[in-house]
Amino acid sequence: MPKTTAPLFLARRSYRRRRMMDAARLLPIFGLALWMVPALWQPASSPAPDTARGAIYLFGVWAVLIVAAALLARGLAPTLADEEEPEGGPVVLPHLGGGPFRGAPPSLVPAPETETETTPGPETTPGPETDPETQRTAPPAPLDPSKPGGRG
Amino acid sequence: MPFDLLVAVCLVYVSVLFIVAFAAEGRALRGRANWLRSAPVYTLSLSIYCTAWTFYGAVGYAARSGLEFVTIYLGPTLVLVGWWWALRKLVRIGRAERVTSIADLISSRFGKSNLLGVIVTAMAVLASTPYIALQLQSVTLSFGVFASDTPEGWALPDQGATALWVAGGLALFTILFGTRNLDANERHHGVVTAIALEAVVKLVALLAVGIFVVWGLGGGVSGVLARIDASRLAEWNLDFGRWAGLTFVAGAAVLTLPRMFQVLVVENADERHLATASWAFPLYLLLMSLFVLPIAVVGLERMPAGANPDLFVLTLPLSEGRGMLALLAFLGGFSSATSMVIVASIALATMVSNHVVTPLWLALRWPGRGQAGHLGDVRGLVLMSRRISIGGVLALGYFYYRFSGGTEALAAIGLISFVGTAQILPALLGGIYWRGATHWGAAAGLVGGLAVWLYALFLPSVGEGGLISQAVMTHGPFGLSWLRPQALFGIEGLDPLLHALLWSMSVNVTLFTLGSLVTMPGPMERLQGLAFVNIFDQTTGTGAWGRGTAGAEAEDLLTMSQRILGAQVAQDFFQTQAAAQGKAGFLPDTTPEFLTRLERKLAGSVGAATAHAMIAQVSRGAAVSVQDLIAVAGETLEIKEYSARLEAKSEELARTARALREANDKLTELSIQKDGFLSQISHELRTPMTSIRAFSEILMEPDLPEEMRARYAEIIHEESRRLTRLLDDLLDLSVLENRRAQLNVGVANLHDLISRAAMAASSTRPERAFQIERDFPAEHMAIFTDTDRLVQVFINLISNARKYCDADRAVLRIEVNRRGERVEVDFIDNGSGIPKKSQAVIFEKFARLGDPAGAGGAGLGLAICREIMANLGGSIDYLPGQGGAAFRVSLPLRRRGARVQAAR
Repeated sequence: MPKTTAPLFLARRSYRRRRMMDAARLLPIFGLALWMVPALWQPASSPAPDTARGAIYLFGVWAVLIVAAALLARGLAPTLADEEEPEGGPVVLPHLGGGPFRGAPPSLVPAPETETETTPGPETTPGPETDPETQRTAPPAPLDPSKPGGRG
Repeated sequence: MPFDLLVAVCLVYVSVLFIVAFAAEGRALRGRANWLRSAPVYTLSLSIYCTAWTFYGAVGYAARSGLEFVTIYLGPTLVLVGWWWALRKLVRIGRAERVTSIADLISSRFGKSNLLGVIVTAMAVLASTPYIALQLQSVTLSFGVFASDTPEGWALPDQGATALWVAGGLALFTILFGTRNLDANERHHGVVTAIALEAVVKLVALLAVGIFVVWGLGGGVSGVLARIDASRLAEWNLDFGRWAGLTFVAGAAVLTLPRMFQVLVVENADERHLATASWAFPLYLLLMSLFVLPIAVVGLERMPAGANPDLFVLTLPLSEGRGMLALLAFLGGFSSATSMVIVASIALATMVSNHVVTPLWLALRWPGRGQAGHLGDVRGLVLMSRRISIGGVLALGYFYYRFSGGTEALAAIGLISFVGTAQILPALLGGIYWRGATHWGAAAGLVGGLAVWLYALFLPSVGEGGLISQAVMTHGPFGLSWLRPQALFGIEGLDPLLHALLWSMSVNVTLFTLGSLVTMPGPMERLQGLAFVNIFDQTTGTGAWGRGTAGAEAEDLLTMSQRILGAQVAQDFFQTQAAAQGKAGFLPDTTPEFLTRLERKLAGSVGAATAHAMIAQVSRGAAVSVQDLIAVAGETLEIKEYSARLEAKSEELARTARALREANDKLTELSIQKDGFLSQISHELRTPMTSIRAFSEILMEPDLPEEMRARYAEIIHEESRRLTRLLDDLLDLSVLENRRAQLNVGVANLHDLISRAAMAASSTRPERAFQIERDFPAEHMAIFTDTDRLVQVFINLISNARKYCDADRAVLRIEVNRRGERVEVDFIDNGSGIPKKSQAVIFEKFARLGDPAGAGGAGLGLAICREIMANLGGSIDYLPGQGGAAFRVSLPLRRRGARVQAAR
């Protein structure tokens, strides 16, 4: 849960995707602006007939919007597919369900048979987050390998 | 064309629809509905936006006002193209909350308030009735076209009867396929497939007529463009207010029309379909409106002056003798009308049954603390109420059609309906983007907007002298001229539609925002607000049920759910939930999470408000309270804190481990060093001892020449001096290392100390040309330390430079820098320096670079220097990157810690 910090800089692919989302947000504004442009021509007060020209302009903008939207939809579809994934699972919040923690202890199984006293039981759910770390970073070369100690 | 044939074609067409819908339902039941749920079908089902109003009315609209007709399609195009803003969120909410209709969405967002559900339902029915009437009217009119054109002079049967037959047939179809299953989330496969088919039919029909008109009658593209310029539509009378206003209204309508909401959100099977629809539906709209203007222009040109432009699509091919084309066009119009009526009546019936009938029935049958057992068959009730509602909605449409006389232009009715449904927009958008929106605000906005719309647009539209008298229209009610329906507050000269739109939306938005700002939302409302606004943030999931619901009996809940969902579905659901809790059987624990899930499941059938009320009744516990909300927030915070603590602890452990590892490395290294030191020192002691022994043995020889004896004695003396020096050094080092050296602290001038050292060191390799560069002014400073020891260090460094500097003209630069309370003395020569890998070991004992014999030292000099400096509270370091070997001696001007040293 503390992993809410979003990365500051994105890989190239995700960066492209973000910009594509921006483009998807901007597209309707762009279209609206273009479709409101005829008001500036004031066709009502111009003497020349302009319905035909206006129609060509409006439908042209329309076609451009459709093509742009199609390209963006192609680019954004994978994003939606990614987002769908977590939804497919159970409604339980992942960090409360204990699921990920139950997956952690297996990483301890190949760990040395020595530190049996520190191997956490599966019920100490938050434990494994820290324990494997210390085990892995423990000094690999003991001070005195010849010393028998209480191991093994 | 004989009228009977027309009726026969209609019947055949409808039976094809029946078969398609039936087959689709069958496939879906067998679980093979893949292509039925595909993006193309979804996109085509959206085409119910294009009703008979589009099919017939758009041409009429274009014939009356030119290009303005296109605004009705521009708005939806912008909304669809901008799906990333609103539609994506709406669809996600609809799927997550199992929304059954737009009234359900609003009611669910604002704390599952049934009041809002009722208001939105009433608005939707009110706004849709004229629209449905419009569809009936267009079908009837199109029948009339064929009938009046028959050469036999065949008399048209009573128009009302035709409309009645159409309405009845549609009601039958809708009831058959629209109320098969109760869970709206299971969706209406049959209906959607039939609608997709109708979408194709109407598109093909309109395109066929358009192609016939452009290339058959108009003389190709250029010909049509010339005709447009020559027609009375050539001048584009663009009124910016109407242009922008109609675009806005159409865009709002695509979100808020009950039938559009039904196909966009409720029937959506996959969010990705929305991505496809975002361009495919605008394309559909483009194709639908591409030929509207040509048809209107050619129709105006060729048809007699009195012809109804709304029917050009039909009458133009007929007058040109293209019977089959006209029939196709008729089927297109028929499809447009029927598909719209079917979906609209399903959507309205869902709303009416979920928000009006079921709550009413519950309130009557279930007074107070009823048991679930007393609940009758809710499932049957809901289905029946939906069937009746469908009939009722169509009946309303029919009566509206009969009483309004069916004379108005199609476009006017459609626009009035659009403005009415647009009143839902502020509550909708406010609900999904603004957590502060409250249900009082929403109710006030909806009612206010509805009132203005009714007064300024709807009632005047019913007809002159109808519900609003002419006197009121011109002078205002009670003679209050500022209240005239089409000139509120004296704003005159505005287009009536634009006037009503402006006033209703301003009143609506103002009341909505003000109401939301001044009222306080209840806990349930705040919960729902959070869930809706932050729908993409999956972590904010909190149950809608508090801890006070522990009394709920799972058995009662099962009994109730069976009545709503059906026995099989309810039992399956309960069993799955129990299994998820790790229990066998059908009765899970009634945890808040389970209640929330059950409620959501029920909401798919009867709407959020009703589902919530029913569970609240059975469980008899209060729903979530403010305390619960705070408790949940507290829990979340605690978990967060706990995991932050864990993380901190793990970091600390990692740090400790790192420190331990470093310490271990150091110890290992020291142990190796110690071994090395021991072997080194034995070697160093052994070499002079060996030569002393050897020479003393020679001296023992009796007849040895005097000069040899003297030379050997000299050697022995020299070696024992070396031995003594070595032992002195070792002793010195040991004393220094243990910090037990006696320090004679005194004051001296640094300049004098360096001069002394340079003098003393000059005996080392005196034959060598060696230059010392010094900066005298900088050197003058008083220093308070053990001067003899410091000079010893300096001597060592200078003689090292003399010994090892391998430059042709050896130069040693001595730089003195004062840094605050410390002084740094750098000894930099111009030799080749010390290689990087050796830099780390030069201060170690017995470390000698190059050939040990040539240097003639034991390799203790720098080690002693380091220990002396440590004793003086300073340090000595190798300074890399100076162009030669460089050492920096750094020490405090006034030795601190003398007392500490003494205390030890």
